Amino acid sequence: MIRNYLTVALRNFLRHKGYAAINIVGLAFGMASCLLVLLFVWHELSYDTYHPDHERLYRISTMGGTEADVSLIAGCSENVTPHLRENYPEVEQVFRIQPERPRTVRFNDQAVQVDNIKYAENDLLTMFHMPVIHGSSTGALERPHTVVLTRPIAEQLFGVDNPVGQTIQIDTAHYEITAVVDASPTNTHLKFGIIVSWSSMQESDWRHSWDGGFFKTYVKLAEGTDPDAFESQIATLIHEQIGERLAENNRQAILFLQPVSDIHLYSHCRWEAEAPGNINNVYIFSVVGLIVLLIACLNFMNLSTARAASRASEVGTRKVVGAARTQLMGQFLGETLLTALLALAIALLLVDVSLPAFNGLAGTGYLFADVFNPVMMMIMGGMVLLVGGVAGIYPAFVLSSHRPAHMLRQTNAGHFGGRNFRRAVVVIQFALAVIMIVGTMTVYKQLDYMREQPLGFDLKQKLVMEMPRGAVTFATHNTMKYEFTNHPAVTAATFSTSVPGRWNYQWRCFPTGEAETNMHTINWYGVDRDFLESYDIELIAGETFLPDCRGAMCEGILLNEAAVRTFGWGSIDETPGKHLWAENRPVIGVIRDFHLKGLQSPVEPMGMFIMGEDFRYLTLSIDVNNLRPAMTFVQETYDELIPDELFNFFFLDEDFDRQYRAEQKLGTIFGAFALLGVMIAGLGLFGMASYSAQLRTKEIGVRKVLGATVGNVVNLLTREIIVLVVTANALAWPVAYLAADEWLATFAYHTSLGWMTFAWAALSALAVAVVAVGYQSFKAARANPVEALKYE
Amino acid sequence: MIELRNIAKYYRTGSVNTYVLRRITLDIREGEFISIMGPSGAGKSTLLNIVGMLDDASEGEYSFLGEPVHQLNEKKRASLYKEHMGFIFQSYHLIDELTVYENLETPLLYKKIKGSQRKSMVCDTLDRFQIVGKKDLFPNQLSGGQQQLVGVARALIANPKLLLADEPTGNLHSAQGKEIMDLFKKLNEEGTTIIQATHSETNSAYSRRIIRLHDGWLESDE
Ligand SMILES: Nc1ncnc2c1ncn2[C@@H]1O[C@H](COP(=O)(O)OP(=O)(O)O)[C@@H](O)[C@H]1O
Ligand SMILES: [Mg+2]
Repeated sequence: MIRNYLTVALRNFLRHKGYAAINIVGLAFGMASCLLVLLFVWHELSYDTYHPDHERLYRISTMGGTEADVSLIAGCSENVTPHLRENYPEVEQVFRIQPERPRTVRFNDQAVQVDNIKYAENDLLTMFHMPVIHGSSTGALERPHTVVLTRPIAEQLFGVDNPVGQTIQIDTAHYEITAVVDASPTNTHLKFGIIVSWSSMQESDWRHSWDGGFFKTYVKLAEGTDPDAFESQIATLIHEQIGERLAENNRQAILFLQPVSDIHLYSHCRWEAEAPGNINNVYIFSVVGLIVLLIACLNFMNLSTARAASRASEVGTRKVVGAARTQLMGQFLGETLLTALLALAIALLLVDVSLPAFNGLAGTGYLFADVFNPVMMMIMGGMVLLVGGVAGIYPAFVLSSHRPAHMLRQTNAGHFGGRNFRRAVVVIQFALAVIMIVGTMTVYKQLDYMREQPLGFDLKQKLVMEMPRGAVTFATHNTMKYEFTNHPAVTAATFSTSVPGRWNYQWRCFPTGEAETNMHTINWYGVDRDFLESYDIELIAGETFLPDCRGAMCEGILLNEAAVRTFGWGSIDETPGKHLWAENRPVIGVIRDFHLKGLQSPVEPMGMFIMGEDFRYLTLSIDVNNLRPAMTFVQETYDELIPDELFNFFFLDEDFDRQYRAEQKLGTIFGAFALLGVMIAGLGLFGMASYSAQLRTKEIGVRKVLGATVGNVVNLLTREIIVLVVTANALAWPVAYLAADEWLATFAYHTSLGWMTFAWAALSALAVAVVAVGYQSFKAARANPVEALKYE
Repeated sequence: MIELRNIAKYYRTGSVNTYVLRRITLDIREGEFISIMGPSGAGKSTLLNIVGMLDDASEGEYSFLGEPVHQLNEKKRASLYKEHMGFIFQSYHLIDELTVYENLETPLLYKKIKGSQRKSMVCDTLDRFQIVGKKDLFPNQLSGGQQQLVGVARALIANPKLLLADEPTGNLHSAQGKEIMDLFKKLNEEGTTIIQATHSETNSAYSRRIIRLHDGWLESDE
């Protein structure tokens, strides 16, 4: 019996190759995009869930600031860790971690730049899942000047040899390698290149203070510990130590626990180890992936139903020769399930092919084998059952329920298809496609908008070098600037502690003489005197830094307009002359607001002071027409002045654009899915059009005999589709408008939703529909009417 | 074998019922060879479909071999049909995607007849109708007469008690038609009950009883 069914299915398939291909390929694309989205969602949700006993791992973070200006900080005082070790038996393990700047690492004459250097304590190696490749994790990070390498770094420096016991050089200091661990997976918020023992960290004033000094601290609670109870025990730990000082200026420092596996998606603290994920994107991608699958499924249902309808006669005949209803339903369901299975196989092929591109986009490191984990397999199985079942159940039900006499009498199979059902499907598909087109266009419009907006400073033609710690001092920085500008193509040089788009200092201050409740977090840039001019930042009140100053003369600070507003001073002109606590520094001028960060967030209050240390960034203004000689010159100068470090730089405009990476990613993914959705919907329409043209062969023939022109016939066949697509647009627009509007509202600076976006979406949907239907219509209309009528 | 009591069939067209069959009362015994005659649209096919359980009567009672068909559920009716009836159509209704062999095999599959027995039944039938040479051809590779021969073979393969034929020669030229009629006659002599719908007097001459329908009314029964 099965063979009988399979024979019919296969021969049917071969007889209608075009239809079958459309059906299967469309579904395969839908399934593939759904699988990729699932992989992405899976990856996002799996962050830090692979550590042993991950549900007992927590990070201790601080809720700091004043009541009016609360900020969450991803870390706590360094003193918390030893305190927990001594006094809390429920803390099974605990470690601290502190990032280091990118460094040059050497072994003999090999040198690599390592971005991900972190100081950490030994418990890291056992609390987190870190498979040891060479050496042992026991005590690997106990002694000062020991390091644990991750495999990629070890391989870069040592190839496949076991490097344990060798000594590497980071900057000028030497470190003994005690172990090599596997590379950090992509789904952890803590990624490592080199781990340096905690005891190697430089001693400094800001360490060992109960006030501030935010070190990322991780604990593993003993089994059976109630995390809530533990959290409430340690919440006021800082207040117990320095309660008076905090109360004096109305500050708080409450400790709280964050489950490690929640950090990636749900933690939005300051100074996160890496840019956190966004649960909203997880939702958006899930929805978009499901939409594409839905469009493909509808196609599949539609085409299966239509095809099944034209098999009414087969069904009738089978009944006449004795088929029971359940047997017929089984046959049809079996066929669609089999087709869905075939589509899944092609979908897996598509996933395999697109996996590298997907990994790049989603920041994942999936191998094709990872697709076959038990959960994904179950989902795939469910997908086949659902898609095949839903697509098969309708024809199975409808066709098998009619009395055979009725089925066999039917000359025009179209009567069984459910014409309105098919219309509804087309409307839904195109409505979904239009929503995705509008979504894509909105994302890109917003991206363009953000990129074109004036930033308030000059972004162009700037080469920035991140200087190694200690390479530049107050005494040498002017000569260094001089050396770097000693070339016609380098027009200016300026040092600063930060550049736009990068990390900057944040301190809280309040106006001297005012209530401490007017304390706010201000972003600070330490700069030299050339910064304003070099970055073309406008001074709008008071004066800029004095050309030459000594000691207290240098104390003057500049504030931006946002800071003036934040302190509630009202008038910009009256701002110079005010003072800011903690150090009672005089405000000497006000600068025009400029964007420290991307346009997602409003311009934050910021200030500038003349830097005395931490000469971190050197910005060179380069004449791009002479880029090549300029670059050569800069590199040579660097190698000469800082011979120990590898030359390392970025262009400010490119670097700043990384602020928009998330939106860019969203746009790319949205765009890809929108394209897929529209194409699948178009493909489905193409299939339907060829089917209905076939059904109407006789009608068209008769019309032509009666004198209809090709134009009349094409019009007859395409008019309906145009009405449907217009209806789809009418349904889609309000939904798309609301969704896009909501999304745009999350940006501090955003573009408006123009009618052009909607017009384009409608036009492209219409174009796809007309092309899909038009071809078939022309073919049908141009056919010889005698041929058409012969077959009745 | 068949008892029809006041069978009527109507279709709803708008708000009125259009009657296709009216108060048909008829008894058919085993071994009969009956022709149902009447002009096109008289209701011949409808009556045949009702007798063959391919369609339901709107009113009246129908019993087949003592079973009240109008009261049976679909499953019972299907098994009754499967067990005792074969049906032949004017337009053959073979499954296009299946070869002659596979078409003949299909009813046996639905009757759940085992492989080897099935094979021998199909081969016997191919022999009997002298279509062995055509067994691997598809319906559209056969002439109308050959297709109908396959249709008849398919209807007879499981040795039904009752053979229903709806204008079996309607699409055939007279020589082919005669072949089929001779076959019917032989079958009837071997004991198969046959009811055929036809409007050809030549065909009806083969039968021993003629029922005439006109506009849904039973006009004569001789
Ligand atoms: N599904 C239907 N709906 C409405 N009328 C029908 C349907 N099927 C058959 N008829 C009508 O029933 C009448 C009898 O049809 P039929 O039994 O096929 O006649 P015959 O076989 O004698 O030519 C015809 O007038 C036909 O139009
Ligand atoms: Mg008829």
